[in-house]
Amino acid sequence: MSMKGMINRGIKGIRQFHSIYHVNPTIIDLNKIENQILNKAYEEYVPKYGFNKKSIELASKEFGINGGGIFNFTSNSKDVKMELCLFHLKKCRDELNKLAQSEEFREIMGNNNSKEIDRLRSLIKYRLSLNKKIINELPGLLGYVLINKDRLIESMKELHELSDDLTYYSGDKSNDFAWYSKRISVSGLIIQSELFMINDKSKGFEDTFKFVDSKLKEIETAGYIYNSIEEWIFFNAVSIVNLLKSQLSRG
Amino acid sequence: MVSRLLFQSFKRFNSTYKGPGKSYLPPKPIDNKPTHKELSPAQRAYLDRVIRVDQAGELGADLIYAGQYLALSHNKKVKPIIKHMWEQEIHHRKTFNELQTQYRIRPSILTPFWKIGAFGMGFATGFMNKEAAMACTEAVETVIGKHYNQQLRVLSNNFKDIENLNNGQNDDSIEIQHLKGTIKVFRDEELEHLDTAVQNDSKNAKPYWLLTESIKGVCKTAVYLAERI
Ligand SMILES: [Fe+2]
Ligand SMILES: [Fe+2]
Repeated sequence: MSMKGMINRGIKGIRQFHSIYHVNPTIIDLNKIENQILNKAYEEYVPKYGFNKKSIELASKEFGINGGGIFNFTSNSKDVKMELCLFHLKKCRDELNKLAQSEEFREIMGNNNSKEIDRLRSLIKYRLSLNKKIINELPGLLGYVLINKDRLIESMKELHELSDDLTYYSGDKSNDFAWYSKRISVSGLIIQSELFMINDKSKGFEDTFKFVDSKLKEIETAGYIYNSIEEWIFFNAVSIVNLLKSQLSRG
Repeated sequence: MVSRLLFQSFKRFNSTYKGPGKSYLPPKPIDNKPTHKELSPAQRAYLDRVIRVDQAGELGADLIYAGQYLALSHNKKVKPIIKHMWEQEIHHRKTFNELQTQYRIRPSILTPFWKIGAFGMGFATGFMNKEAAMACTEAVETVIGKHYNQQLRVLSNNFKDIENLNNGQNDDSIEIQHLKGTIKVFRDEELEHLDTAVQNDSKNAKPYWLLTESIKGVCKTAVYLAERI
């Protein structure tokens, strides 16, 4: 695939324009038969058989459909295992969305004492705790979605959506390059935390949450470096300007 | 005096600066319930581009005037004229900043370059002389005025097919009305700036043709890039 093709495929499907007055597209449209199959497979068979073709086949059977043939027409990847993995990622994002819409969360957002970074911290921990249900299958899932190039593009798209949601729900209002640096940091943090999590044997994943805390501290400090560089450039420009002005007006 | 001026210009660079003021957004719908059907992917993609490029454009405008103001602050006659236009640009920029966060639009990744480039262009033309600064304004506002008109055309022609959930008819949601209204007001103000520039001897700038044409070229390229990246 060419570079441009990769970028196009990567960008296609990323949310554009979140409307207030119009109905927005849903994360998972359960009116679609393929999503009903995926949902059934995810809820009932993945815990037993993992993110595998078998789970899909068993779920399909309940809908009177043989095999996973339907996904040849409905998915980008034409790969049922990948579709099931992506379904987990989307389902978690959907849960996160529900949390963000809830009364309690709106109350927290309205409270001026809570800081953006603290809200981000709780949202990330909430998202990671959604992995608990499938923790035994998580290593396989991560291995599968991250290792092949085409699958990596699909999963990066989903990861970007996730970090965009996390940043937005935590109250981000950035208008410039900080928009990118925040999301890139959150994406990196999520991947690292999930890789940490698959080896975490501590009670209730305490160690993973501690890992998140320490990484977030780093981000909090690094976040300010960007603004300092910008200020640094500006102040240098201004002092040069002043020097020029004073030198030239003398002549 | 100079330090206050610098501080004013500096505030324009600092993205976290939020001046006092009202909200620039349309009112929220009742019960936060949508009033209209889903926009098509093409419509959403278009709105995405419109807000990104307009935000970048107004950021550029704000900083061009900031640069000119800094360079021409010794000129008692043009100072208030530039100040007036600058204040309108600040309002434009704040409006699009709020729209960008409200509608979850990705800002242009080239924002740091727009900042430095615009401030540099404003300062450089202001530093040459008043006429050059006005020629710069003339060129910029010509491109932006046309650009806003083009957007208004598309918003009027390509958004007619969205059903109102309350009465089953096709009409503009408050969101689309608000965006159109905002762009109309801003377009008129940009064209006022254009008149102001001409009244203040933009045509006497030397070399007029080279200056205005190259600035127009720069603006068109910037529009092209900011829509996409
Ligand atoms: Fe403007
Ligand atoms: Fe203007």
